[in-house]
Amino acid sequence: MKVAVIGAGTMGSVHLGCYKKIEDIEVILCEIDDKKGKEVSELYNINWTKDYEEILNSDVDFIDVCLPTYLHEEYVIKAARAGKHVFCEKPIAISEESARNMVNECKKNGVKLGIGMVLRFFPEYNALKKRYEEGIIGKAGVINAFRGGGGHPSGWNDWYSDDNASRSLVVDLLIHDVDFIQSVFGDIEKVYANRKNSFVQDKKARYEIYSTIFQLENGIIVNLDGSWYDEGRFYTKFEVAGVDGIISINPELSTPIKTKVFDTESKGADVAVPESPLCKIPYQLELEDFIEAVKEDRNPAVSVEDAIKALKVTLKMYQSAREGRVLLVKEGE
Amino acid sequence: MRIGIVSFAHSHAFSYLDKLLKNPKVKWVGFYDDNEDRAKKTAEDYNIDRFSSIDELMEQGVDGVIIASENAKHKEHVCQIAPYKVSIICEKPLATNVEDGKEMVRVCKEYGSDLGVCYPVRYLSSIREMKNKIEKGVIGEIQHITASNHGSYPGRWFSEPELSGGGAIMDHTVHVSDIVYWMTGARPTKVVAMANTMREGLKVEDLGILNVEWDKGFDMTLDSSWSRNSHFPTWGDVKFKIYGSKGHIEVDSMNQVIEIFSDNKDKALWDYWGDNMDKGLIDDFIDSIDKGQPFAIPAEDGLVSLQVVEMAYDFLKV
Repeated sequence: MKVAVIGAGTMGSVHLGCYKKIEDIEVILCEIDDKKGKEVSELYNINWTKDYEEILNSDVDFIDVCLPTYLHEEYVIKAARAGKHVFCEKPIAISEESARNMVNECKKNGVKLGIGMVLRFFPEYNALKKRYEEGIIGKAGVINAFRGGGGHPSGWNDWYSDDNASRSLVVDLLIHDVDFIQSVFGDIEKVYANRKNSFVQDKKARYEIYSTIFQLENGIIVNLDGSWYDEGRFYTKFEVAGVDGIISINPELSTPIKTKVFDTESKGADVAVPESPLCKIPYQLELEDFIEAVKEDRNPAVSVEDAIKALKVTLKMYQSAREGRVLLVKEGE
Repeated sequence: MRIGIVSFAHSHAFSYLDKLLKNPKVKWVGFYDDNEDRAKKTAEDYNIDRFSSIDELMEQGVDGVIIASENAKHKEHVCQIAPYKVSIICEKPLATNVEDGKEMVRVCKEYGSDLGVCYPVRYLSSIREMKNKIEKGVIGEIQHITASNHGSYPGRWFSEPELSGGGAIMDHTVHVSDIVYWMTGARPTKVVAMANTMREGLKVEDLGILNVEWDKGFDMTLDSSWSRNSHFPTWGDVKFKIYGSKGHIEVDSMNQVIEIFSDNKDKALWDYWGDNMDKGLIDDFIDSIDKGQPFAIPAEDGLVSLQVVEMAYDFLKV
């Protein structure tokens, strides 16, 4: 199979690394930035082009869109019209309308659409889901979760900082946990979110924080926080407490390897880098799932409807932070 | 020094008693408890004098009183003791609503009794160090706080609303709120709360999460749930994560433990070795009486954290 990765940013690079490890996959890169295109294509020893039309007219089987969120609709629809299957990074789009346009166009052209809700492929989250579903802690009552600590991303044209392009951290980052929670514990009924940020020039001191509280239709209450705030490393936490016990994903118990090199250039207090190596990283698993879905003509493991459902909740959180009030997810429907 | 205890309904009272008995300045401890069985057992277990009414206890000549009755009885007990012109500390929450709390403060002022509130968390060294760092501006201006005061399900009167005034939110919101007020001087302006009851047949919420806006430009999310099960390695936690404009501080105040995995016990255990917060509180109370000074945590401080609780329940009523 042949795939074209669109965009050589953070996610594009990760996906390219995965494709190189998957058998019988040929990959080509599309990137508008000369420097980046050259650099990344040389790193992975692949061909690259600046011209998306060239990709659309080529014999690639599917297109992997790793672009800023606000560009998803345009690029996915073009791919669908060219008869290409599409794998698109999360979040699916910046609005439900935009997401529906993508879904409809893919349906119309008979191509598959997969969304990179990669958390569903993280083994620690699947282990928690499995144990919870076995009934080991009984009925769940409250969830505490966190995602962040890795500082503020820069991205192409600083698109993460532009609400019109990214709809902010809650839509970009916390959509993972929202989707996971809805897939395991049930639908979210109401949300409240508080957002704090600074847009200073000094990248190291720049941050965005979301603290959200929400309740599921079945009564479960949740505190989910997320940050683009420098704590020295990116990490996640997830704890669910039920009547008979607690299941917890603890970052201290998730990194079997830590490396620290002498700080001879005395750049300050550098910390040891923790890692969680796996034979196949979750990104490879999600891409393999999509490739199999195309080959076997089945749906990808995470449906577009789930991706849209999670998007709707995070958009409500974004709105709640702006309006300072609790919002019902179904409000306005 | 002679100290009286009114009620052992709140189990913290046993820890306070233990610290009193170990304090060399304390010469005598007597108590009154309206629960006959508990009173009899306590008198025998600790070999201390027991009295059949508050007045009888006070007539023994008492310098200070600790009140650890059920939340809803605090007001009655404080108001009954106030005329004896003594130092009083009352278990948290000060009362089940702000109005009662204010009345307690007023009555004590009127009679010249000093009324304080038991917030032992203020005596944890990690919490004091956090306050110190915040005051020095180490992390700049506070932007956001996410905190937790998780606990085990206390059972008994804690789940009877007429005695407790509420569930996990009533029980576990005030410690963290008090620390925020103590550390920053900020007062709450808005509270959004979500509550849940996961234990079958409970009359109060056993789980609660709040978001509080404070009047100094930051907000706080607090999980006050009774969400620790009986096999959890410890009773619960008091945790803070404070995001500042220059960096963050994370405090897990109970994280001074040895880990125990024993075949003779049915669970893993985090055995705490840090400073004992109840000892800090009791010793400070005794010192304040000794020096003729008011206690370090005045009842007025207790009103601020109680207000957060009241705002949370007001929000949930709507």
